[in-house]
Amino acid sequence: MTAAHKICLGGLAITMATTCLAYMGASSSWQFYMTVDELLDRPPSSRDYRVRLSGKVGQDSLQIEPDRHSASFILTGARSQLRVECRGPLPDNLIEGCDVVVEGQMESSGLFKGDQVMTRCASKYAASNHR
Amino acid sequence: MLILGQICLLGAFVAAGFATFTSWMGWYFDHRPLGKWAPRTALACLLLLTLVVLVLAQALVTKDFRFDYVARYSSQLLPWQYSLSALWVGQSGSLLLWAWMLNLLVIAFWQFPRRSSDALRLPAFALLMAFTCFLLTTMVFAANPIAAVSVPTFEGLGLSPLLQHPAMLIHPPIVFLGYAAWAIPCALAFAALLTGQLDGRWARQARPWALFAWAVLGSGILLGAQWAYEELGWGGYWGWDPVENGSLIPWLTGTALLHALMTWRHLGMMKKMSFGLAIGTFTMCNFATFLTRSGIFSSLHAFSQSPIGWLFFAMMVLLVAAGSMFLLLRRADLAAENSISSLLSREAMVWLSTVGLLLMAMATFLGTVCTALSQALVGHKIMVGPPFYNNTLIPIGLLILAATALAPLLQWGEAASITARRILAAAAVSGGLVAGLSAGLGLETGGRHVVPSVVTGIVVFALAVLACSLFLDARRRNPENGRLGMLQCLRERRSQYAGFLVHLGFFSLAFGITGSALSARHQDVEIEQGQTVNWGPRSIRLVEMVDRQLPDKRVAEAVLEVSDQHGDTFTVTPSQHLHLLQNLWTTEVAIHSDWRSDFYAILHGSAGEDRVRMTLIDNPRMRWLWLGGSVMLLGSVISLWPKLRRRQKKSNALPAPRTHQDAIRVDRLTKRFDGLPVLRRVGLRVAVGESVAIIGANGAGKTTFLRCLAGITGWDEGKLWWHGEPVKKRAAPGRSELRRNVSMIAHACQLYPNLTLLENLLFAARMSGLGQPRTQALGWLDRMGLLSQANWLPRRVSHGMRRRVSIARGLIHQPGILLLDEPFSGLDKQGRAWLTDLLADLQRQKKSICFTTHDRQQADQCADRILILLDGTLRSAGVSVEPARGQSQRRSA
Repeated sequence: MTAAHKICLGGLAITMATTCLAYMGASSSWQFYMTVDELLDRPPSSRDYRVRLSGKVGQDSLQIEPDRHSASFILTGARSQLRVECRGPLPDNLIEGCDVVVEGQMESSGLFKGDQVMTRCASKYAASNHR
Repeated sequence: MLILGQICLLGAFVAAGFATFTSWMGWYFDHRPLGKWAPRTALACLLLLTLVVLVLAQALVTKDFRFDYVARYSSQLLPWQYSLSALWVGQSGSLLLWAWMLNLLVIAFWQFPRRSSDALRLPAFALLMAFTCFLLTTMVFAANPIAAVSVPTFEGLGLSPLLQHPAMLIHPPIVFLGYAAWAIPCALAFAALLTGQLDGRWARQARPWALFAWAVLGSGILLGAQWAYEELGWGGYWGWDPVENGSLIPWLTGTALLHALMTWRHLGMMKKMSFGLAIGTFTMCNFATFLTRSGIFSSLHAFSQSPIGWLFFAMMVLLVAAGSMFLLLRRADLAAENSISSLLSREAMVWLSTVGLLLMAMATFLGTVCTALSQALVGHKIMVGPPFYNNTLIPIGLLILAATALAPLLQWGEAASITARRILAAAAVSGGLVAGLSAGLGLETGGRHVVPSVVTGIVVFALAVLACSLFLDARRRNPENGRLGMLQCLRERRSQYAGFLVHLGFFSLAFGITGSALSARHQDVEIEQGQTVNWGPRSIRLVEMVDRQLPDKRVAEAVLEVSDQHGDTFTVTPSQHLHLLQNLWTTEVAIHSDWRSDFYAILHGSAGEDRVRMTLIDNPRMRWLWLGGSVMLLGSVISLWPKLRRRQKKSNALPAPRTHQDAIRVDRLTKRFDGLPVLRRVGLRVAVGESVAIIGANGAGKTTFLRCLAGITGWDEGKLWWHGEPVKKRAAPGRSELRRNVSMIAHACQLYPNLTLLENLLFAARMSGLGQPRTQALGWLDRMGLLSQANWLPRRVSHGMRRRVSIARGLIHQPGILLLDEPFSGLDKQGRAWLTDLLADLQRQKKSICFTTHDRQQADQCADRILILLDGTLRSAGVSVEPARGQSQRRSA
């Protein structure tokens, strides 16, 4: 077997190992990414699944604790809305009307329990008619 | 100003279109006048684009809210420098910046370097202007940066305080410059495929641009990471967000491209890979633009769906389709000239690293498009998190680290020597010991994760290998003076050692990344004023809470005094700022950095009277990460830095050949060995530009005669003149102007066995006192068709190749008189044909040639005259020669 053949076999082995590792990594960290409307229209089959939920913080709904470690608000989509409670460090620019992404799980009571909330970055590549 | 800006934008669009048209037509129809218009119109386009940029910049700085762009991204209270940075925050502004930078680079490409191949320059230029035209088209028809506001306003929406950071002043422009620069290697690759110039010229031209693009994009990525670390306040610097991944993927494929180009240059391998990577890297730059503007990828960056993103998707498809088609058509011409010689060779390590880098790029790409793919396939958007990337990229990264660490002691085209293997084994043992101690004693990581210890071990291994490689190289250069030898190495092999410096930076970067990513510790605490909290080896005391009022914001600070187990104490002040205009709180983290780790404090807010909640983070090895990036950039700059042209004390060519009619004149030359005459009163005249062949039986004295003509062997009687100048009877050592004009190429190749082919020529060039010896040597190797074997030892090449190098060695100083002893000996049919052409070419250059041969047919083909050496005398075919009586020579029948 020439050196080139050995290298090719080695490359193949590395690729297969990488694929296995990628699968293992994906299966331990995957989550659904949904809007509020999608979550309410087609919720995941199991409530144990983690969801990354995107929406807009409803007006007059945001309540932030003084320690800025928990908050509750209404997350609105195009048609629907959902009550969200978050525990964990809150972003500085969490305000009513801003776009957010919340990671957590849906509870049977219809409340979305989040453990991480992120606001969308301030740089804007919006369409020309967007304000 | 609005009207001016719009006119300039339209003008730039027209100029770009015209430049594209003229360059294509100029190349396709080989129409020089038309081709000359191309760079002029491109320059006009650049000037107009510059005006557009200046108009928009002026509008932003002066808060001219008649511009829609200014109204969206600026405000009255925004400091001028951040107002200016708003130029690249919005979609149309970022497109404008990209187009302007690309046009600037296109002009630079046209101008430098002047020695670039014209065959590739024009078609590559046409492709680059076509892409500039594409960007301008999107601006003119879909995202106009100079549009007027629809509703007059006196105040803008402003810029988020998060973006008001010094890093944001330079990070986006640098990233866009990197994207623009990758267009050049791609254009050169397409130009080579289009024109069929597949001999590697495009690779030599593309390499410096690829290195520039790689360095710039890498710097941009690092700046973005630094901004995220210092400004976003979550303790990390990389979130595997699609926008971040979008810039990382072309950097990974670009790294693979640089190494593939190197392998092509040295061994004529990885040709298809080089083309594929050049095109693929630029395609990935377009992908990065697509995913920030299409809106279909889940990201924390706020985008809506915009049709412009799909234009870039179409560009990607076009690049991939065209590239694949051309590669398929040209595949026969892109066969590798060599194969991997050994597992322990440099090309094997490059190959492994390239596979690794491509796998990293693929994994990042799949993780990024996972959401869109899953929606298309299963109807749900699914995304993967950091464990996916860590699981995949860390093992590949370790493999690449190990391969990189081996490189300095390995050779191109051959297995590692015994000495190298011993050094590698010893270095591996050292690295293993360090890794084991580090993991076992929990020196770096507290035993939490073994990967940082493995990386530590690899770094130690790499440093040992590099040091030994430099030492061996220095000793080879100058056995007596190691320090001088080292300086010589660093000067003469600057590119190689600059590459090793980049590798050193890479090791530092990996050291930092593995430490911070895998061993970081977080702790949420509530702490009262005056209270001390113990956290690991550190004690943290809240000294006081401070509230300050500034004109534009209110600041709440927590003063912390931190002491560690070594007794070192420092103070950090995390704070929260309330920006009065936006009524927005921002967190300003506090970071204390040393070589061991970063102490990172985030103030969240009040948890009661005199009580605050904060997050403490320990990020090991962060400084090494930033240092590594800086060292990589430094190595790239050193590699790209143009070579200083020394004042030429030595000439590249010898003085013009003398005009004396006879290049060689011999009169009654007699040579005896132990009293036995070998040459008896031999006479000869060789005119300038004449070729004379001397044939004779073995032992006739042909070689002896040539050695006398070369002045290497003395003679007993007679006289010799070179261009009318008498030559001493006894072989005189030392060099003289006259002697340098004569070259003898012996029958045996006599190359130095422990010097590479290139080094053999370099030695000859230096001994002859030539200026720019390396350039000369490489040029001759190229002429001999041996550039790919430049770094091979003579024993690795065929006899014919060694013969070529020995001929090149004799010709490198451009002598006027050439004496060749049995030059056709050992050459095959192809080699003989090549040598025949070479001799004819030399004769056209008015070189005077005298060669010996057994082959009458070859003599007939190459010589103006044929002489026979028989019984110690020279005769022409059938006629004896009496040059001393001034009789002219009769040409052989």
